[in-house]
Amino acid sequence: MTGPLSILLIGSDTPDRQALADAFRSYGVPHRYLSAQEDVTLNAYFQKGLADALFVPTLIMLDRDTGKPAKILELLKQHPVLRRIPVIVYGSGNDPEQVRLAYRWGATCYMPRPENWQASMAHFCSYWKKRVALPTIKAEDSLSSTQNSNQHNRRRWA
Amino acid sequence: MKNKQIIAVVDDDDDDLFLIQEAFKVCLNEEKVLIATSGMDLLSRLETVKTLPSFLLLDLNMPLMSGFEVLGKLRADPRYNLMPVLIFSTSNAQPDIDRAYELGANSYVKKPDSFNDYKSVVEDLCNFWLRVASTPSSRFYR
Repeated sequence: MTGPLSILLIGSDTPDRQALADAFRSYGVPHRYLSAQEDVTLNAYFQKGLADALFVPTLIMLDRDTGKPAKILELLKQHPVLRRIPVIVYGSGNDPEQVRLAYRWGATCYMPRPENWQASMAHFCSYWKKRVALPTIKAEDSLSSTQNSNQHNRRRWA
Repeated sequence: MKNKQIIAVVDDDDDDLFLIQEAFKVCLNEEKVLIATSGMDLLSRLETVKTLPSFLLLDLNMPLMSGFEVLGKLRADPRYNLMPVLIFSTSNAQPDIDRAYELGANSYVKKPDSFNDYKSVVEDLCNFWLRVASTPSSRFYR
């Protein structure tokens, strides 16, 4: 058995996102939702004080259609600690160019949005919850590393 | 005409290779398994295939070129840098796991201890990477 799976969902608060959250709930996967509507939201999330960093994700699910995936992956992949977190980009359609683009952004994988999240998440959870060893992401590591790159990120996300 | 999907495996241990191949037989349909016994062997074999493997199972502890070195070479090569690489190792050491992700591994799976476990791990792995995820395997580079 590997370390705990805790998932950060990034995108818009749509019925589809709620269906995904419901599926995770039914499989007992801890998760939290983060809106990507404002550019500063994710940056602010990872730069909170240590006392607020109660939920440190070991996997991120990013909605390609509403989650600004290119920007968010660029931010994560430049970070010395957060870059370890696997990021699954999901979206409508399965166009080969779109699939390749997601991998070029640095996504761990691309997942076409399924018709039924509940059914699809059975395979997802069997793999990511039972089989995969996940990276260690400590809030203090994230914060100390973030402090070093704050200036850079503030300019990028302003 | 659609090419058959390929799955690549690199492992220097004959017993592990046997177990992996037997486990794949149970859960694969038409996919072909490309076996390499070292990093150099893999890089050589990749030159001969027309499509990228849907994913690569990569052992870490190998002589001459470790799995980390193979991963570094793949990520530095524009022909292979999008190919999903799944570390498949007996090591459960967290520094190995963290390093693998830092170098760009797509996931890290610990090798099972028995054949029955091999079958279920490989089945879960195939169900996710071949049936839930999409990969850039349709990219032609020859």
